[in-house]
Amino acid sequence: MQSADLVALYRDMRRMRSFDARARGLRAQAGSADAAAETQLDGDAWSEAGQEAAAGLMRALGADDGFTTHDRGLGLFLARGADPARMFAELAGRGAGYCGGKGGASAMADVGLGHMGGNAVSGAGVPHAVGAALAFRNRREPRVAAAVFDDEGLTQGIVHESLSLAKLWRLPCLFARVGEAGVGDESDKDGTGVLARVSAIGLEVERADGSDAEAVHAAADRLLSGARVGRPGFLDIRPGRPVAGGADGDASVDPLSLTRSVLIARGAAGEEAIDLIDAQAETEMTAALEAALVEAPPSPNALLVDVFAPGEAAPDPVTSRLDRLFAEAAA
Amino acid sequence: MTRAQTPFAQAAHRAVRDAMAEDEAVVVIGPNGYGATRPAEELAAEFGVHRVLHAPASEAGLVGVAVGAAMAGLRPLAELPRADRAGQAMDQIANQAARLRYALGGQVGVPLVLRAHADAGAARALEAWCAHVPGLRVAAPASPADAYHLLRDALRQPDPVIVIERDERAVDDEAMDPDASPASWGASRVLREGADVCIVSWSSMVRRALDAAEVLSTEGMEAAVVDLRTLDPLDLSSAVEATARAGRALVVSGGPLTGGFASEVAARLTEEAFDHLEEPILRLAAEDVPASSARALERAAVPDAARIAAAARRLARRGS
Repeated sequence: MQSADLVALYRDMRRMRSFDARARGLRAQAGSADAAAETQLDGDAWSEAGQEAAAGLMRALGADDGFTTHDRGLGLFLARGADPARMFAELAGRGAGYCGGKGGASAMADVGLGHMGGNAVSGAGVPHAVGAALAFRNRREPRVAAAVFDDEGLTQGIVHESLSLAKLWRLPCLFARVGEAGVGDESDKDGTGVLARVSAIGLEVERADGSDAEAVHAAADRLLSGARVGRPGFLDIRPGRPVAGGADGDASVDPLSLTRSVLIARGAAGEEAIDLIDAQAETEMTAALEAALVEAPPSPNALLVDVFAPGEAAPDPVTSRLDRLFAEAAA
Repeated sequence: MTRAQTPFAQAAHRAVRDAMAEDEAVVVIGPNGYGATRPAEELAAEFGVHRVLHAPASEAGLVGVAVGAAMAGLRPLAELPRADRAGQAMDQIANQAARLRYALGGQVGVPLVLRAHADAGAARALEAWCAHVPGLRVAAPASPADAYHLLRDALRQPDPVIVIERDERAVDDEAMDPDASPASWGASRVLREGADVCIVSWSSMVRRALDAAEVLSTEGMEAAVVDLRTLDPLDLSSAVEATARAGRALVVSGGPLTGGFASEVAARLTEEAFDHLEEPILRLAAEDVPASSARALERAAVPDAARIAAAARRLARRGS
């Protein structure tokens, strides 16, 4: 990877880490009496610290490619170019969020950036990427759809059905599993069983160290070339995740520390330049969070909007139904 | 993330423990790690790992396995710590568990219990989805005591039961006493007497209905409150009686209005109490909108005590 590209990749990862720390802070406040937390629901925004190397996949995707993620896909959305202030606003249930506050941590997306949705339900977004690939292929567009999921996704039948369909119909699809230590199939901790199953379906398989963003990028790049000509691929990003609870973990497998030392060893960036990137990421995310928290909750009118398409009749609100019933009785 | 267990969750956990002690056939199957199954470690220590099975996130599979285990003589308790995951298991719940006794001409039963834990707003329509399925029992506890008793009762039923737990703020009506059965399986109960209007509800809406009745009482209006406890079996005897006395009834559901269970209750009350009705039965339910993650919108979508009181007040005053 060129020096400038690796620096950019490091910046993505550092921004993801800074975003994640604040996202978890928001989650910790959810449901508390704190007025700032009052608008958001609990149970969202899992920690993604330690999984930043998956940013290599986002840099490998083309600008026109689409993707779906899972319930730890916020960092990938950020790496794709999302505005962190709008992401925090969505997390905090504010109207200015990417989905008007309705999607929250697990669903948030920006279709304009090719993101078709995160998902709280393990594996549920994977077939959506296969469907997007079908649309791209049928319209003869040179685009790939990627499905990013975790080990929980792999334990869902629908994910295996999706892999088979992509292979059967030769769709431009890339499946990326972001491994998490200690989650998923306990009898297959090193993931060889998964790879055997996926290979048996006939997908092209690559494996990358989940602490090595450059390796993830290279593997994704190779698989994308096949996917673009109808050979769907499966990228197994092995668990890195040393950053327990988001604190500083074992530097030898922390994707940030690893990339940092590679940058220095290659002379791609000096300590000071990297420190500056770190500081900028922190400053940027602090400002983004502050900007998000001054936003208002969704307008009450939003409740009945977007149930159906614009122009279609909205659902009959409870209050107008009652008003009508009692008005008729009085008449 | 470990959270302090609510009295409701503690009661349900104790029900599982007591059922496992009483009946060796009871086994627990649930996904790893999440809140509602956290006490699974205690159960495994007491009863052995062969009776407490940790599954990965494979909801369709784990419920399907529970179906087979139930047909083969075990009494599986399948746990869905997030009730919205019931969607993934719905074929096994509605088309398999609920139908197999009938489809096999009565050769087997499927005595499994599905415990679906719903956080605020999650899976609002689940009661209606399930109550619509012939062959499936549906329990909707409103208090810690019923979280205990309905789960114990469910684990003694010959047919599949889904217990939908919504403990956002449960009715803390009585101390949880495993020896005292406040009402038998399939019986509704009257939590409050009142001659001006009858409010019928279930699950977490019961607490809100009681709060509304308190408000109305300060205005000199007495509302009866009936907790249905189970939607299948459905016991409307006390609701019919209270409705006949008041001549007016409000059915309150936390699920969407259209096609929801409040409509079933209202229709049956109309049929059975028609001669005593002064006004049509009124339904108050959630807005017909999907769930969202914005707290402000979720609050606005579901009836609260103030909206229940307002609807009951208008109903009680109409035509008088």
